[in-house]
Amino acid sequence: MLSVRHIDVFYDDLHILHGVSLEVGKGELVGVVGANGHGKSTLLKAVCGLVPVAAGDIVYAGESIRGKPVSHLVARGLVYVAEDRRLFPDMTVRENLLLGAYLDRGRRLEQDSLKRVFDLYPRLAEREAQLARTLSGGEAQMLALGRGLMSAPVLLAIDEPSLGLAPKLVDTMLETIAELKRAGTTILLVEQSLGLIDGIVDRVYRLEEGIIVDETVFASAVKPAAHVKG
Amino acid sequence: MTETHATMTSASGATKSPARGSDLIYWSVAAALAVAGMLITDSYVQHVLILCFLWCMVAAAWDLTLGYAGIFNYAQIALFAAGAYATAMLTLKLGVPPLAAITAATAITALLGLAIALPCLRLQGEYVALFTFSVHLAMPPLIQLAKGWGTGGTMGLLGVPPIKIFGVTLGPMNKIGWYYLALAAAAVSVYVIYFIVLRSRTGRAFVALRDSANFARSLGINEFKYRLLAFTLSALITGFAGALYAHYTSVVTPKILGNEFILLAIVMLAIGGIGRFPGAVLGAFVVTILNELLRDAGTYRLLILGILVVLTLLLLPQGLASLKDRLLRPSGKRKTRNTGE
Amino acid sequence: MEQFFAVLFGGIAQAAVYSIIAVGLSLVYGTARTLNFAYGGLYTTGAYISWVLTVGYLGLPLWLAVLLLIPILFFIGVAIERFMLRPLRRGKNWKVTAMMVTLGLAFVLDNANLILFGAVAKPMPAFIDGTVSIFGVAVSAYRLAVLIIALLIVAALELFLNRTRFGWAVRAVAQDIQGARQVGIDVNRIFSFTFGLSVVLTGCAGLLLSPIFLISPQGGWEPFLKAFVIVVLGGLGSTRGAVAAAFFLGLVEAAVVYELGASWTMPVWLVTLLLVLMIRPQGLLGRGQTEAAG
Repeated sequence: MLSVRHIDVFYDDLHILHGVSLEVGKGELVGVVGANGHGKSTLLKAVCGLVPVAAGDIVYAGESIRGKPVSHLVARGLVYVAEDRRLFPDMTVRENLLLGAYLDRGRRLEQDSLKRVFDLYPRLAEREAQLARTLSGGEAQMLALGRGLMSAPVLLAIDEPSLGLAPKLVDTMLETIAELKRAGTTILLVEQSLGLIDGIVDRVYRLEEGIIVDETVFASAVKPAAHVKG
Repeated sequence: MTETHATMTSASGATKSPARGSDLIYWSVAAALAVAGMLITDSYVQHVLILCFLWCMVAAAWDLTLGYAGIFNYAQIALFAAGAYATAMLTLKLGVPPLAAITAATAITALLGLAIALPCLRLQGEYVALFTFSVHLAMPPLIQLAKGWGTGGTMGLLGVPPIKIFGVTLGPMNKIGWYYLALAAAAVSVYVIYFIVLRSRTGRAFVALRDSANFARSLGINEFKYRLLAFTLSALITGFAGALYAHYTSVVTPKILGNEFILLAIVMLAIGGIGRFPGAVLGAFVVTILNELLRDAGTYRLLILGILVVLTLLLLPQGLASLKDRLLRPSGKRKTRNTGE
Repeated sequence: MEQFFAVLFGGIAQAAVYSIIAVGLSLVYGTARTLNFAYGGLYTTGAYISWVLTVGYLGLPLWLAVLLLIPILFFIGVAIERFMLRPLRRGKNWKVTAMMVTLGLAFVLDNANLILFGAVAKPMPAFIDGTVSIFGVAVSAYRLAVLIIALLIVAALELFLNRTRFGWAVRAVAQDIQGARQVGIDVNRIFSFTFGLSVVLTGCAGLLLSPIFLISPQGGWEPFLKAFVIVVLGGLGSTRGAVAAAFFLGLVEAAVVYELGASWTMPVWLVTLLLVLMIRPQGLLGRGQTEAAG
């Protein structure tokens, strides 16, 4: 589904990612872990078109996507959920979610997606008419993920969803992500520590100083649901 | 194409302070200009060069705030006018001798710069631009309203007395005298700005604050102090230039605050390139000369200059100074480092 | 008392038009974080174009001229954004260079208009003459019409921003650029659109006010400055704040003109700006000075 091939990414003159390669197969939940400052977020942003890639290539669903605009990627189901959420603070929860379905892709399934998100996150349904900036950290993360779901993603790239959340909320969050995988969404998940995600991932890459240093395969605890084709 | 990060990256990195060892080159050029002064006989050419020197000071001072310290200061010309008006009013209304008046005017403008900077401390980015530009726009009406205090209103002030040093009278006709005075003032001012201040710790603090205010603060750099410093120093030199201008032309009118002067200053920085020595200075020379050459074009002159600003910014965004860099430096070095995301 | 009311009414009508200009300025700043210094020049250019279309050269009826004016202005705005601002955004110092290029453009427009049309102010005929009686006071029919039109435009803008998906996209970009990208919004297209829209707004404002103020090459700086003050008071990026501030300041201006005379207008506006920036830079409804991401 996603193939990152030897990409180099710079931020001004700083060389952040060096020849990074990774693969995400359809229906997999793949993790990338590493300490802060080693390039995890940059990697995700590069995959999702938010930062330019200086060298190498990225292939998504058979198409080379390096240099393509973000709107193009979202239209093809490659959706990014930022670590700092990036919600629209002066818009309501409902408006934020509906904006997730901005493109035709999501718009067609808008009402179904909305229902799905509210089922997944009843708390959001309660706060439907509230402005996004009044939400708590956990609720904001739910909204960010919910908005991502409104885009009808095929591959969801999630950046440190646990950031700033209380441990109990983190568990719920990760369980939700596992649930999404079960339902058939491919997921690329970035987190700071392996311990958080080793129960749900199929494979994990470790990123250190902008280089992939190893890859571990797990007998994943999460199997796709029976009705989802592999 | 990717948008966010592309907008933040630059091909050629940070500001350019003059390299060590280029002091010699600088003073050689200054000396060459001094020698040239003895060889030039055409008083018109001398006049143009005098203007060049004075504008160099303004451009350099503006570059200090805009290019290096990253402060969106649009009150530069207002400060220039303040220096001019201050010395004119002091000499004409209070009979202060010119040398003292110039010194006082410089100090007054520096204080004015400080006064403008204070409210700006609490403002970020574009708000500073708004505020300072408003100061610029506010001056002509204020000058008009303060007519009773001797500002001369829309007519301006005429007959600003010439400077007398060592028995030499420097009036508008004494081109040779003014040539050397302006050259000296400019050479010293530009040297102080680029070679002393911007190479010092203070200069590095300016750039650090400009590039990453949070990071700089975390290093303990006192943002307020350095902003005030940048503004005040810039105002001081600009005021000095304004005062000299007043005594050279012997006339001070609100026209200084009109579109023409600020446009000229902007074109200088746009063409020369901000934040890169000798960009602003180069720009001052090129534009002053160009402006004189275009005098024959009448009303088209300002139009052409405006078009020039737009074209230069689009085609040569880093100004003329960047041409030199592109010629001298191969592709930039790449550093490998951990970084926060 | 009657005269006061007439002045007041004139102030309100003018304020309504200022609010249009201010909203345009606010929209562009809110989305692209760009201060368009050429805004006044575009105001004047809009007025001149409408002059050319009507009494100046082509003699078209006003309604037709307006129909032509809007796409012309929109196109100009999109072109400016696409060819002057977008390339600059890729560079470092883009905020400075963007401001400088708009200042350069302002001077180009001023001087081009001066060369094309001369320094003498051009009159534009009002499409309605005479007076109308409100509460027993005679007010200019034209000013009343202008007030109504301006209010309609503002209402239309509100509807657009709050009820259409594209309008939502504009608000989204104003609130979080990266977030907007993440949901698939083409941010560049939003920038172009808002810029085009802002030029339409300011140009039409120029047309609306031209029978009152006449058209002169340098005439755009004053409305531009007033729009600045309004937007700062109302909050950069808040369109509702801009409208509220416009009416407040319009009334203040009317009162000042009535009491102190017209020559105090500019100083009062400027002092207001300085005060607001010093006391509460984010204005009444603005979001504060946090920069947009990306």
